Amino acid sequence: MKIQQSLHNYIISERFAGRAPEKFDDDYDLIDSGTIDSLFVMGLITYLEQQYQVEFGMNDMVPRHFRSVNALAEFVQHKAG
Amino acid sequence: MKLNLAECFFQKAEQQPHHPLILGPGAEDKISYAEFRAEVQALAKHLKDVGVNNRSNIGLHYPSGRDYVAFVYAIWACGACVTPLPRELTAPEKQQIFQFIQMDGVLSSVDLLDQICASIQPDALCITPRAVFARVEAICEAPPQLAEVNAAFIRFTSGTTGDAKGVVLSHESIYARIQAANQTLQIDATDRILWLLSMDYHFAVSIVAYLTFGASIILPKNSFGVTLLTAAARHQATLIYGSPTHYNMMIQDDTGACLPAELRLAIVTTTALRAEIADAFYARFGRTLNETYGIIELGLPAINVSQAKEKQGSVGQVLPAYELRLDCLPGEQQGEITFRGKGMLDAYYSPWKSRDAILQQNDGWFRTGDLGQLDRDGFLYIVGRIKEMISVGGMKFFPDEVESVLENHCAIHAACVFGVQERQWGEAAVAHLVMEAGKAAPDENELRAYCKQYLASHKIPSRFQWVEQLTYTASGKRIRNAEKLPLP
Repeated sequence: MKIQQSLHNYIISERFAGRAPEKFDDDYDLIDSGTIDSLFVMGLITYLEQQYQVEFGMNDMVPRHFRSVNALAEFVQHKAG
Repeated sequence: MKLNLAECFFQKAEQQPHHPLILGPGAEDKISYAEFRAEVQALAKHLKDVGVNNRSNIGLHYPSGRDYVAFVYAIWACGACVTPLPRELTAPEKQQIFQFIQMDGVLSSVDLLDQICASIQPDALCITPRAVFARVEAICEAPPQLAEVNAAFIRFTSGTTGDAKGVVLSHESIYARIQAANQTLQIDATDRILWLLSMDYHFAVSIVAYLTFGASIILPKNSFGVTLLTAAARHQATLIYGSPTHYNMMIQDDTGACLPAELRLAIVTTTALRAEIADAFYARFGRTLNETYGIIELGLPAINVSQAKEKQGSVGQVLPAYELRLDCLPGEQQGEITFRGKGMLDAYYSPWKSRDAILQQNDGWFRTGDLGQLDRDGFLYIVGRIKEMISVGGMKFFPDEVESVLENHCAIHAACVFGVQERQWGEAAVAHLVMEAGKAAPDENELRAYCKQYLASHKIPSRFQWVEQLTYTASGKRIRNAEKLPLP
């Protein structure tokens, strides 16, 4: 499964209880929409680390990597090398 | 007449109606004391109309934020008590709370209702566009002694099946502990507090104090460093209340954002502050972090305000309203931290144990389960835990709960879960597992998927290690201290 699809499924299931908001696509702004809040970011990182065997450091915790599903997928691919 | 914290807030709103109470996340979220009082009173009327009264205990199942504060105060304004149902818990974990603590109804986010449908009646009533009220299926009974307490909160803490606790806090106890803490914190209407923690776990000493003493609360949109720093600067924060992880996030900010000159305290709570974070924060911002010691049963009996830099690593001197006694073995300087003082819990819920009964067990002193040491100036240093609580990013849990889930897996004979230091979230849980004879070892992904059915994600161990046997003390107690465990 593509990273985008996997992330899409994870966010809908864990953040929106299975009901995606309108216009939720891979460029949906996860920061401005409030999707990524303090609690959710912790579970999201754990999920990505386990799913793709990557490790997030504290200096990776900046909004640009979390802006959208596409941004997250790109960052995970970059990390996975 | 009984004290009610909602009335304390209403009085403050009367004194300073136009003073801002909530600032952020967006400009449209700003609300004054008078506006918020009107919102709370309207919600309370709605709740009274659906039957909430001064004998009710209401579960609150809603994300932290402005609405959460309004709901707590509206429930209190009805004379009812609040039991938080943290949203990050899994459906079975939430069900455990319903089985343990009697609730008459739940105020829930519409989006989260599916997770508690097994415990509530189906005809939920709309309270706001995003919140519903549902009656709870009668599963358990409240202890009769609860009626004698002017209860404001019942906080559930999980443990093994027999160790789950409900900490009962009355309006009087909460009021006493915020007065005690404010002798040192000195919060007043000139303060603007950047709030970063979960309201399910942190409300009784902090949010209540801010509303009682007339401060403003800054709510950021998320916890990225740049967001926190921008919110602090925009609203000229005078105080920050967060976990080490939040301060670490600020250090990592790469936009060059600064802290406001008005900042007078940067409170660290939830877990021990690593020296490297304290040092890096000082190097980046020229500010020291103020460590504290707080537990739900006691409030905030120690805060390092006076010598945060000189005594880095200490949670400070004991506040005037409390007394500290270290229960040391003869000849030792470290001992279990015990306290007595204002605003202690009123009771444990089930089996019911009153404050007096709890204190009588230890000559009138409350045993914290933490190990501490005092320096010559009376500054307290936390050196370890007797209770093996784990704190991941400020979210606390006991290993027993995770072990009992793991030991229900058909391939696991025994499990030992313990905390290890971790850079990102402060601590991480690790599980040592002993395989059931004749079974094949499941891989880590399978174990994680299994745990996810029963445990909130922060409780799921980051590592699973198979061992021949667990390590026990001479008296047969499981050793959960990472330093004393053999490497597998």
